[in-house]
Amino acid sequence: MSIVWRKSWRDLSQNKTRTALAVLSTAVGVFALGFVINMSSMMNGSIRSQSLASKAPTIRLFAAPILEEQVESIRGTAGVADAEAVINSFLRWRRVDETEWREASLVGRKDFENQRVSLLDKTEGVWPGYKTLMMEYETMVYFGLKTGDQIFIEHGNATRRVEIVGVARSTQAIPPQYQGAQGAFFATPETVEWLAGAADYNQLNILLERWDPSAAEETARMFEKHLKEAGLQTNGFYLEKPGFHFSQSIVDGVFIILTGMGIISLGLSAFLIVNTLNALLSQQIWQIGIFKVVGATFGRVVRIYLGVALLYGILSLLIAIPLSALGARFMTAWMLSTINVIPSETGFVPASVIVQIAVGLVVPVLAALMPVIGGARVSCRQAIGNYGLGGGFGNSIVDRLFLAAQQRLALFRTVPSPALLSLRNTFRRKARVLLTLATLTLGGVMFITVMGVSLSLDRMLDVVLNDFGFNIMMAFDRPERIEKLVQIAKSIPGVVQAEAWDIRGAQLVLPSGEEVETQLWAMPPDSKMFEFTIAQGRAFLPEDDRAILVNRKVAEERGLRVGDSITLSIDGRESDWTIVGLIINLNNGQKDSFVPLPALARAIGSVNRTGVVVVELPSEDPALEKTTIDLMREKFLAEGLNPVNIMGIGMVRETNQYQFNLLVNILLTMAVLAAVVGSLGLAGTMSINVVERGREIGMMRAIGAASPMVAAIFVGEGLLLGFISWILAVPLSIPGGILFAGALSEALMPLEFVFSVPGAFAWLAIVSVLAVIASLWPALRATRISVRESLAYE
Amino acid sequence: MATNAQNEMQLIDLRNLVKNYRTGGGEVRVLKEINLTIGPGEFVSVMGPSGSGKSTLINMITGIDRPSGGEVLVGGQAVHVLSEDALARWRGRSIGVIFQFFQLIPTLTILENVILPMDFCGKYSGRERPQRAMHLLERVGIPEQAHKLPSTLSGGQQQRAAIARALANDPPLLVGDEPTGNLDRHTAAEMFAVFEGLRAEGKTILIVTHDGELSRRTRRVIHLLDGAIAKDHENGKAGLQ
Repeated sequence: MSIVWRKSWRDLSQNKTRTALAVLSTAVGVFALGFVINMSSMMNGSIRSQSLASKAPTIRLFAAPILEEQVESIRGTAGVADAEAVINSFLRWRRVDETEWREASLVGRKDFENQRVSLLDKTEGVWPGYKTLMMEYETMVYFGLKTGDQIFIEHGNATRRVEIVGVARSTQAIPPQYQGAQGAFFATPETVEWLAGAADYNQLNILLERWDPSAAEETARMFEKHLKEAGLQTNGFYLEKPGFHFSQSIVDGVFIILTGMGIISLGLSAFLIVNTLNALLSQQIWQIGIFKVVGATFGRVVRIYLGVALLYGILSLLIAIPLSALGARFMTAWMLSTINVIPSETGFVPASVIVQIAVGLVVPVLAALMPVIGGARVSCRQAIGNYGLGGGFGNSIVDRLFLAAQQRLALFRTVPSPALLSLRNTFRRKARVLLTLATLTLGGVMFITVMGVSLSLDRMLDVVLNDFGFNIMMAFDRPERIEKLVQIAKSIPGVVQAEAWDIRGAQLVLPSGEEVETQLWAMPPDSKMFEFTIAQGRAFLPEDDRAILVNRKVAEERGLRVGDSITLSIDGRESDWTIVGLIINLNNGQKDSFVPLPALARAIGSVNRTGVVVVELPSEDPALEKTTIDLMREKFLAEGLNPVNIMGIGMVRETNQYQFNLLVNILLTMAVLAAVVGSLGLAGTMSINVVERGREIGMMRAIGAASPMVAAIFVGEGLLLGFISWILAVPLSIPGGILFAGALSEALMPLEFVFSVPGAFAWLAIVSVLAVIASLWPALRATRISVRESLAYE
Repeated sequence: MATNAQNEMQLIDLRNLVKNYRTGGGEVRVLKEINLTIGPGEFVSVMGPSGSGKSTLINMITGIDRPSGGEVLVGGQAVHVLSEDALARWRGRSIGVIFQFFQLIPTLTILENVILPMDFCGKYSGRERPQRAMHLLERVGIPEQAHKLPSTLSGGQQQRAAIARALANDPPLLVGDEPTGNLDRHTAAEMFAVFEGLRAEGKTILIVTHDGELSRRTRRVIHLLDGAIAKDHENGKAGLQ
């Protein structure tokens, strides 16, 4: 090892505080980046491999009753890897020891031993037989059920006691917490029939050999057509890319956040490195002078100190690489557990290690370039002549303005001199102060932005849910007379008003012949529960016949305008409609369209009958919602109407809130990281200040400053920096939040940024506490400097 | 032409050397048209009150600072025209500088401090450097301190180490800015003995000192007053320039 390397190494090992700060600063940025890459790779890898291993269907086609020979024929079609029909039904269940009924899906499949598509992975017990059930893993966890437990099942009018004999994981099953606490059970067709009275195969799971979205859609349409021609009732289909997961948009959203934060953290790290090296160089400036005196060129000096930066980088890698792998592993395991995926990746991601090494070595060197060149450029004479009490105040315009203000303003005359010293000291090293402020400010912007985005998610949820002017929507297995539906609903205690609506799948046929899937909502033209926001055009008028409100997003994408005529294909029947308005509605992938119920009824030939009822309650109260749903179900069942789909706004809110909480938790983790980086920066600056002002501290003590006074001067300086950074962070977090919300909108759903006032004040509190903590330690160190020691410096 | 030939014999040749500093109160002339020659093998001390320009003069000769006017020739090299980097390389090989506060790198051992200039200038092979450094430490009488850090040494020992460092690349000229200023009388006298030994080996030595007694031990004494040479004489002889 050359002498110069030896010197650099000893500099690092002797000044442990500075080295620790520099290494931690670098490590935070490198860690953040490595963490994101690791997590992204592990999460997507696990989701993908599990989804592929479970043979998740590419096409899910809904039709009934599907016969085995039809499945056989589809299996034999070119391009189809495999196909299997299942019975999809809904039921109510309750624990034997409880009275509360809960919702669940029940999937019936013929042969559990030889599954072909959408494979179940048995984790416990045995496959279900006649009159026994198997439960999905997440259902077991969520409800705390055990193999061997018995439950009551209610289907239609019957109630039966059934034993749960096993547990299986299904990647396709949405965990209860994401779906209004809906459980998932599996059974044989015979058991389904025993429980439900009928057991038609109504869902066809098809796995294609290759994934090509347009070819898949074409294939799905072809099968749908064939089944319809064979006399089956078809009810649309879903296409899913292999490896796709129901939580994909959340996962994507998380990674957008993480990537953004990772990059910002890296930037903050760079700031901290600049600050540390500036300090190192200012302390070693005389050494640079000596190097030059004994023959070191500018390039040589630059190489020496870039070498130091490189050493910081190497040390930071030792922390960041293992920690980012470990952290990502824990985080991934936790996040995957919430979305029903078992982590299948080990945590070692070569790409992440390579990126971390590259970034960990390059960023410190790049960040160090400016301070190092500045330091190496100092002339020999300046470098050697650099001792004594430091200056740094009084020369710039800012300083002179400050002094002038102080002389003129009465306010300043009452400020005690130690506080004045804090105030002036703050601005002595202007470049350092700027960098520290930049770090703290960015940390603050991150924090306030995150709080704002989290608030925006909440607000958006409000907007989405408030669009539904009703509290409960109930869809039945068959249509009924409108008057009867409304009359039954209104007779239920607590119901303020009730209307008959209709919801069905349809296609918007564009002039080009292209078909766009839409969900058609139909309601009375004078509906009291229609509260969607109209962006353009108007709402329905009583005299409207075939009028349609189209989602603004669809309209923008497809070039549709108010006044345009458009064809709707409903259950294979086509009819022409006029667009009277564009609607802002964030639900359901923004695919919903709205038509007046009478017009829809005429178009499909089902006049005065529908299968959907909506009711409004006095308030959004989850308990009231639940009891009303139970009452409604009871009443309608008594009338022979079997509910197949129930939506309670409170339930939807709870489910969505759970998903958003995942995001918010990640956001908060990142905000904490921001706070850590910010305080590292402040601690670094303050301890550099203490080292640099060693003589001055000795001098102050010599003229009577007691330890608390010395400490207070430094803590005051830290607090002032924290406060200024807060003033800067608040306005900057607005554009930051808008950008951030914009990025999230791409992945999740349209999100309008809301500024979080509590978030801003929370940061003020946090930054104040951090400032005190970050400056207290250096301040305490300052109080330990003895007069003799500091004045005999050199 | 005759003067040129004569000057080529000189190790240091200052011609109309001027140095001005800009201060808050305007420009101050620190060196006023200095003309001075010092021949090889001379032992010269520069004396004068504070602010007379002694250190500035030394800084001009070592290339640590640049003149505002005039020429600085050292060993035939026009120092004032060299770039910063060329100056550093030239200085490393041609001049050994010794400071009042020793200025040893605190994180390097004494031996490593002496090797440092050799590393920078690459004058000796990697294997020769430690041997040569050790030899120099023996030469200044502190071989047993070789592997200690500067902070563990006494002032006199540190200054001996600094002299060994100044000798690292075997420069013909040693320049000291108050090299005994931070030492007690006894140690300062010892240090002078080291300088006298080096002079006897043919090195040219130029030191700034406040100590009249010590300056009497140098061959030639230059007195500076207000940036000009007030007196330049050989010890034992009176002289005025």
